[in-house]
Amino acid sequence: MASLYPELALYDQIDTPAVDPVHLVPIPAHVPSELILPFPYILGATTKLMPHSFIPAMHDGPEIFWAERAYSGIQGAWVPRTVDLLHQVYNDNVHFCARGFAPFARMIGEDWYLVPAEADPPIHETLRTMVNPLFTPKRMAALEDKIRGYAREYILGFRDRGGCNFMADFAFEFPIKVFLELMGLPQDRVAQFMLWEHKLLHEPDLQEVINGTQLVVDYLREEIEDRRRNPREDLISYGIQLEKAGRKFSEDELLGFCFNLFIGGLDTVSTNMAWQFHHLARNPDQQSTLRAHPEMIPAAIDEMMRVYASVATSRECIRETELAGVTIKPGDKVLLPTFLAGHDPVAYPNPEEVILDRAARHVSFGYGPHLCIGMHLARREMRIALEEFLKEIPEFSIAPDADITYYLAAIVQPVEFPLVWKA
Amino acid sequence: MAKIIYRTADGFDHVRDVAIDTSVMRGAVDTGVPGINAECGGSAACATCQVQLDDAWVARVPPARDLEDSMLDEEDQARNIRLSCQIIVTPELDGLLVHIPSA
Ligand code: HEM
Ligand code: FES
Repeated sequence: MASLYPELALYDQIDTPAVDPVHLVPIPAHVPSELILPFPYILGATTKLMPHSFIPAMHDGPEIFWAERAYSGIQGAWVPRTVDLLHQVYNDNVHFCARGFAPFARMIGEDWYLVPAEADPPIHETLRTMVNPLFTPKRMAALEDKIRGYAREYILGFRDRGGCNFMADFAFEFPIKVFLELMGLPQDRVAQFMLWEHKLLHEPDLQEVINGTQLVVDYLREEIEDRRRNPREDLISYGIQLEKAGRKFSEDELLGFCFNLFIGGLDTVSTNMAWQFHHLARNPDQQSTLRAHPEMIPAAIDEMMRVYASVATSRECIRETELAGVTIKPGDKVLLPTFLAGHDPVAYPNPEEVILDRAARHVSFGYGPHLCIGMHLARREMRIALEEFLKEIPEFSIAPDADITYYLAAIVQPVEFPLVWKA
Repeated sequence: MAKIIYRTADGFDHVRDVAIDTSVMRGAVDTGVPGINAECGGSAACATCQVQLDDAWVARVPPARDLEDSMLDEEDQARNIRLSCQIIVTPELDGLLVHIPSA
């Protein structure tokens, strides 16, 4: 194992929350012991090392391995590491289901599910057909000016201070503003949403996650109820009226949809923005290239999304199958770590290097029928943030005395980092 | 095989022999026709494989299913924009001409 993982010594520098062994799901008997390998991306784990620095060594190992605690911090999962294998699993709804990958409803004793993320055939297609029109490129393009306005508000707010805490001062709130706009929710809820989001996604204490989930669910139910009585020109009202093939959203589906947008559309954007600015702060040449050539920003964003991919969802095996020659049995969890696939040396020559115009396809938005429905909106938000920041703010870097901690899961994200520039 | 003609915005015709039962998207992506990203790999989930049917072919290509339609704005539908991953190549489509939008 040590030879496979030359970086194993670095694992000492990961702070993984302890778990009472009675809560751990036992390793299934069919998992070969030589495929059980170390894995840093465990729920609640943090480190001061660059989180992506663990990845290259994994690509010297088997194409798929078993990692303890890779699912929800308490259960082991298969971890495929190549683009090909991720494509295969994303596209295979015969042997794998998406249902049950997110724990939120179960945690509060309810049984709705994320719509459409946790839906399987045939209902997934119906649900996706219902909500797709809300996210077409043209509809997202219509939000351009609003999004630019929000970005400028934040940037002009800190420009003359010569620095900012990137997560607290910009990255967390900006996508929330866009989300509230999209949903037709009042903008004075930003601080509230931030708090909920953090309880839900970044609290090591399970009870806090449960409380956060309950608060968000209560709030969304209230708003849905309100739109039933007072329909408006917004996404929730639209969701209520939606009808396809003679069916409407059930109460639970509508909640599952709103919750899916909350859980899928906020922290993901914050995180990817964070990595883009973190990277450019440490690579002044590329920063000045993009400042001089803003038309290169879209391709650069996709390249940084590949190298700093941050999301891992999962599937559950429902029929026995094989992945790269390894037997996967019903009940096995399979993680879909986009951050490993982004560094697949077979798919991407010299995978560690950010080449602004590489124009390589990545799986950071997923693949197949569940491909991110918010992709066009997310790209727009990230592009506008970068355009406006580079336009308004001179060369920026990470404060020299910065002591940065990174989350390794549920999403690979800097907890906070200070940027500085000459005001 | 059926012959499919992919005309790019610069007026160039990329002529390809595409296997029956594969998609118009596959025929382009696998042979390096530019302008078709196909990020979802053919699931009608990304809308990055758009083509515009040539007027002469509109009546001969089977219509879009609901899922495909839901990914396109009405304006696109009116211009006969389609997701090329949802157009399955059949012998009847031999000679199909599609236009690849510029952006
Ligand atoms: C950079 C930001 C984002 C990243 C990296 C990202 C990533 C992903 C990934 C990897 C999936 C596939 C999950 C799976 O198959 O298991 C997904 C699905 C999804 N995303 Fe995103 N996402 C982002 C932004 C957004 C935004 C802004 C929204 C909404 C406004 C959103 C809403 C969704 C929804 C609803 C799904 C489920 C789609 C389905 O199952 O059919 N995402 N996203
Ligand atoms: S390839 Fe994604 S919609 Fe056609």
